[in-house]
Amino acid sequence: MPTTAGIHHITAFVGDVQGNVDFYAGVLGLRLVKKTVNYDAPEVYHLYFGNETGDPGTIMTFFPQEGAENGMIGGGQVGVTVYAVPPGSLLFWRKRLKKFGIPFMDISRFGEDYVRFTDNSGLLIDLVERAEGPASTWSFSGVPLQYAIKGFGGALLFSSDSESTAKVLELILDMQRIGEEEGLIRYQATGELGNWIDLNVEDIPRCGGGAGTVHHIAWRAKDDEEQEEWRRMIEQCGLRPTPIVNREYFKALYFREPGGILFEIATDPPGFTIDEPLVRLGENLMLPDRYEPHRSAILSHLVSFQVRSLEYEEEAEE
Amino acid sequence: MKHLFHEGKNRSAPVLVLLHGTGGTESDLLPLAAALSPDSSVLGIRGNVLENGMPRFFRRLAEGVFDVEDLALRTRELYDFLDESAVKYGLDRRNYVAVGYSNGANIAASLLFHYNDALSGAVLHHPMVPLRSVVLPDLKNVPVFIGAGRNDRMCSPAETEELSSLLEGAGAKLTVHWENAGHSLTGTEIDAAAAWFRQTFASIE
Repeated sequence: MPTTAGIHHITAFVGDVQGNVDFYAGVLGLRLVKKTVNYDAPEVYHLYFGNETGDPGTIMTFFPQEGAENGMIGGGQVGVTVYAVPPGSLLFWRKRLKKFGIPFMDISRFGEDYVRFTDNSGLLIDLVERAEGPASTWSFSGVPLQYAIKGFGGALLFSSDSESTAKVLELILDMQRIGEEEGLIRYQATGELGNWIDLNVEDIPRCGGGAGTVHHIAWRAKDDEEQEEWRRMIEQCGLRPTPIVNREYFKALYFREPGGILFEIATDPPGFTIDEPLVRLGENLMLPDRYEPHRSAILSHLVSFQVRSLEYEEEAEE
Repeated sequence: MKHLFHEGKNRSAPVLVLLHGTGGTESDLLPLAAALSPDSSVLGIRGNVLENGMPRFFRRLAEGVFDVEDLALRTRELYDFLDESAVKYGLDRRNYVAVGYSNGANIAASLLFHYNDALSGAVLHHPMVPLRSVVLPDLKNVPVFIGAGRNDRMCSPAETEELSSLLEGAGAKLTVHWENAGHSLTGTEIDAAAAWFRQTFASIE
């Protein structure tokens, strides 16, 4: 039976593209590792942020749309995306959020302290200190390496049928139930990043998607073979997976788990250096072969943006 | 719900329902009650939800992001408690005026958004819009005072304007008092609320 290492990536809808880039690169200091379009709707960008190499377990992806209508965070969604930062760095992040005028609050669960805030589109984000997982090798926009985000710490799922979601996590994804506290169950996957999944015990009514909500969460399969195995298993459980589709940087299959959350199984290979060298990741708009002939038409629908350091600009103005 | 009750000298003056901000208690706003209407009976209520040990009236997902499901549940719970308290202490249920700050002001606003008979008036210090895309009940002539800060980072002036227009649209008689301060309850804001209260409820006193 295949066992997931944890989160491969999380994909969300957001508002304006420059605001999105400024938040994830400029404020959080992540690297834009791929600039492409939504393969199912090429008039919309698909931006991937992650660590320097865009390793599985670090990748947050977005479909930004100017003036998109806001959704509401609720049942049937990933409620909170959790980022892991090195031990001792929450103080730096609290100061940084304050500097950018981003309101935050301190919360705790399972004996850990979290700093909770929303991005500029309303997505909920937690930062937590974690010793495990490789340190970041990417420093940008005034976030020093010693405090830089490593990748996902995990996610908090908002299920509208949490008993069934729990079964999917345990029986299909083979995660270990390792703790329970008031209102939450905690699961552990085998990876070092994106491996702590929390699940609400009380069912949460479904809410409508839109800007500021997560579209899907993808779980790691180590190769094509494992992914095939999962596909058979999901089918056997009566959960109707999609066919496996090629997303260029990984292969994907999707299924909606009974709690309403769109799950994806994504392969670790081939990764983001398949069409760009490591040092140039995210610099050019990359299109799959089938869209290449339409590049100029596609470009005409896209708002241009800049990956910019917000810290340097601030200093330059002073 | 955990609460305190002080019987006032004037039984016909509005009963003040005190609703604290995050981390407060049922007695937090007693000085405010004394400033608004010293002879009123006072019902100070403690929020039923704990956030890292701090009492609140409903759960939130993040700073400024409410858990709307919990808000609906807690609003109903508070409404029921107001009914019970009238029986328990022999109060005129039609004469309750909420006095809330921040999180307490938000749940008071939520009472107004959900029920037309929950409150006969409200003093809301730094409230936000508790719910969006709902139809408000008829609040015809319900007097509402809003104290707001132009530099309030938790509750932007735009949010105050939105709340004001929603309440006014439902027929409430609205007074908005602006301070240049942030999310704090300043002396001048309390003075303004007290002057409004005396004027608005003069006929009753």
